[in-house]
Amino acid sequence: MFSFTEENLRLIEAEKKKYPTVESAVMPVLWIAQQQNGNWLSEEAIQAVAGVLDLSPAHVIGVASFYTMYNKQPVGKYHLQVCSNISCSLNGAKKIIHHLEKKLNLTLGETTPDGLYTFSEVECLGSCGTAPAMQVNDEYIENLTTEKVDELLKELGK
Amino acid sequence: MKVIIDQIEHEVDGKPTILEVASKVGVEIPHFCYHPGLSISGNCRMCLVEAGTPKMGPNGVELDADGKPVILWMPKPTTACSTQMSEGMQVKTHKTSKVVEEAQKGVLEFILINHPLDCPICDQAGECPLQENTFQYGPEGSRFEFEKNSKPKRVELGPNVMFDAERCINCTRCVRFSEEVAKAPQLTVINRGDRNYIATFPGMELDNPYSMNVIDICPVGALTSKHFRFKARVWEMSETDSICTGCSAGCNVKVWVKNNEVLRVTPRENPTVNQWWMCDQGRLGFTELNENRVSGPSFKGQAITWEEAAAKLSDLTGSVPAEEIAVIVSPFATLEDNFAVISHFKAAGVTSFVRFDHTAGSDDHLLIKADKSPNQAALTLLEKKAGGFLTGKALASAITSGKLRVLVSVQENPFGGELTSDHRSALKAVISFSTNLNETTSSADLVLPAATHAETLGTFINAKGILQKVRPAKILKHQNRSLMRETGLSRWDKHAWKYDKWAQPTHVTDAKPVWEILSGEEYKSAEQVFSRLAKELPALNSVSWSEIGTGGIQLEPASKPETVKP
Repeated sequence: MFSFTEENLRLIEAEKKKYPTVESAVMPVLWIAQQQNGNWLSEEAIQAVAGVLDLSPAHVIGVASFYTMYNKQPVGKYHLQVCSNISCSLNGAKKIIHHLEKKLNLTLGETTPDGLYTFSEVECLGSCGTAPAMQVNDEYIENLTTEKVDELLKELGK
Repeated sequence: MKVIIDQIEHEVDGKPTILEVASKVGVEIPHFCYHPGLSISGNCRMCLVEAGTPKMGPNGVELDADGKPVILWMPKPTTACSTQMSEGMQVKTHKTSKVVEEAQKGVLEFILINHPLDCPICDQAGECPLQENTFQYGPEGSRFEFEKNSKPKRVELGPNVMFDAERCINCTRCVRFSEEVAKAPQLTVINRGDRNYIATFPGMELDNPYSMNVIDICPVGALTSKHFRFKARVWEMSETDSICTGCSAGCNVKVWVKNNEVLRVTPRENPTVNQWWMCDQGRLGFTELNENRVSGPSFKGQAITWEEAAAKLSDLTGSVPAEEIAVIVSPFATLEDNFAVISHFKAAGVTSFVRFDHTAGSDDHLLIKADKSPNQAALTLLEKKAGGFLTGKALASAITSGKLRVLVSVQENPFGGELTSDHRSALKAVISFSTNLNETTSSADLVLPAATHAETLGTFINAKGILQKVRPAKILKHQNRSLMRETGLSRWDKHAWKYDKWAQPTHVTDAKPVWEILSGEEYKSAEQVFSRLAKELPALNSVSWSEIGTGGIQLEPASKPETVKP
C-alpha cells in the first residue's frame, strides 16, 4: 500500500499553498508520488494523490493518463528516452534507436528482464542544438553516436 | 440590450450567451457538448458562429457611410455556447454565413473520422443528435481513407450503464453531469488526443443513484442502458408524457411503450420539478407495470366477471355493520381514485379510513425524497372528507380487538408488512383492489384488478404541492373511452391495420381504474371525477382539469388539516 512519507506530505502542503485551487496542485503532487514510488504511478499512488488533495481518483487518473511523463507502468532503473523528433531524426536518431534495440534486445516501450533499463521513444527534448539526444532518467546525453551509447551502457551496467 | 442575430434584432436581458439567446428566439444552433443543466465546456466546436461587436470611437459607436454601426468581426468563428452577448453584438449563423456553414461541415467531418457509423445497430439511432446534425449540417462524405482507431467496446461502467468508446465523441457531458449534478465524480476522460475516452477509476463503478441520466444526455450512442439495449428502435415506441410514481418528488417522465409493454422511462424537462433529471430507481421501477399483474377479478381464487365482482363487493361489505369495515386508501393511487373510494364507502357509512406511511431514509441533495409514495399530499387534502386517517398500527390493534372485521385495501399491500396472518384470520373478509399480485391478493377473498399509473388518467400531488397528471401509456382490455383519447400512439399504432402482426398488442391486462370500478354509471371519465372533487376540496376550487397540462400547477400551500380520531 502506498502512503506518502512525512517529508513528501510537507512538500505537498507547500505545493497546495501555491495555487488558488487544489486541482492546480495535481501535477506537482503526482510528480512527488512518482518519485517516491520508484519512478512510476501505481493505482495506489494515484489514489493516495486523490486522498491528500481531496479529489476523486477518477479526476486524478484523468490528469495522469494525459501526460506521457507520468509512467503508468513500472520502469527500469534507467529510463532511456531517445528523442525521435525532426532534428534528432535528421542527425541519426533512428540509427541510435535500432542500435539500442539490438544491444538491449528490446522493442520500444519494454523493460529488460533484470529491471535495469526501460527503453522508449519520446518527442522533442528541446535539445536540437546537440541532436541526437537522449534522456536517461533526468539527465541529458547529447550528440549521440553508437560508440557513445555503448560507452554509456557499459558505465550504467556496472 | 439589443443584439442582432442573422440580421434580426432581439431585445435581451442579463448576460446570456449567444446559444442561449438563439434557442430562446428560435434560431437553431447545432451543438453536442452544451447542455443547459451543465457547465459550459466548449469542446465539441459544433456551435461555431461568426460574431462581432460595434466599433467604439471617441463619440461612441462609429457609424459607416449608411449610418449603420461599423462591426468589428472576430477573425475566426467562435463558439456560441461560451460567448457572452454584449450591447449591439451581431451574430451570423449558418443561415447567413458561408464560413459558418463550412466550419460546421469541417467539425462534423472531424468528429466522424473515428466514429464507427454503426447507426443500423445503435440504440441511439432515431434520437441521436450526431445523426440529426450530420444529416442537416454535415458534409456529403468523408475524405478520411485510413483505418479508424479501435477503442474499448461493451464496457460496463456500472450496474446500469454500458459504454462504447468508439462511438464516444468526448463531449464530456457525462463527466460534468457526474461531478456537478449527481455530486459523484466517478467519470473522467483518460488518455489523450484521438485515443481518449471516458472511464471510471480502475475497480470503481459508475453507480451513483442518478447514473442513468448520462444515457439521456449522451449525444451519441456511447452510453446505453443495460436494461434497454437492443429492446426496440426508438421509432417503434410510443411516448406518453406522464410522471414518475417512485417517490413524492413526482419527476416528469416519458413512458415508452412497444406492443403495450413499457420498455423504458426517461425524464422529461420540467424546470420546477425535476429539471432534466430523474433517479435510477424511478427509471427502473417500470417492470411492475408489465409483470406480475392482477388480470381479471377473482373471488377466492376463481375468476369471475366484473358484474359478479360488483355483486360480491356489495355482499361482502354489506355482511357486517359499516362501523366494522376498514378501508385502506392509497398514496400510490390517483387523487380521483382515492376520492371515489372515500366517497363510495363514506356513503355506505364507513368511518375507518387507513393510510400507511411509506417514509424510508431521508431526502437527498437532488430529487430522491424520503417519502416513497407519490401521492400522500392528495390524501392530506382528502383527510377532512375521510374524517381523519388511522395509522397502520391503529388498524392492526383494531383488528386484533375485533372492532374491524372487513378490510378493503386499495392499491396497498397490508399483508406485506403492516398486518400478519393472525390479523387475516381475525378478519371476516378481505377485499383487495390491486395492480400487482402480492401477499394481500393471495390472501384476499375478492380481488379487483386496478389500473396502474401507466394505464390510467389522473392527478398526483408531489411533495412540493405541485398537481400533475399521469396519462395512459398502455391500453387495458376494456379501455374506457376517456382514457383512449389520451393514450400515446406510435407511428406503428397509427398506421397499423388489424391484420398487421406487430399491431396486435400483447401484455393487455384486464383491469380498470378504481374510480371506474366503484362509480358504476356515476362518472364517465377521470375529468368528471376531478371536476367533482375540485368543487368539494377548497384547495382545488380554482383549478381546472385542462389547466394542469403536461407541466402541472403549483397549489397554494394547504393549511394544516385537523386530524379527527374516530
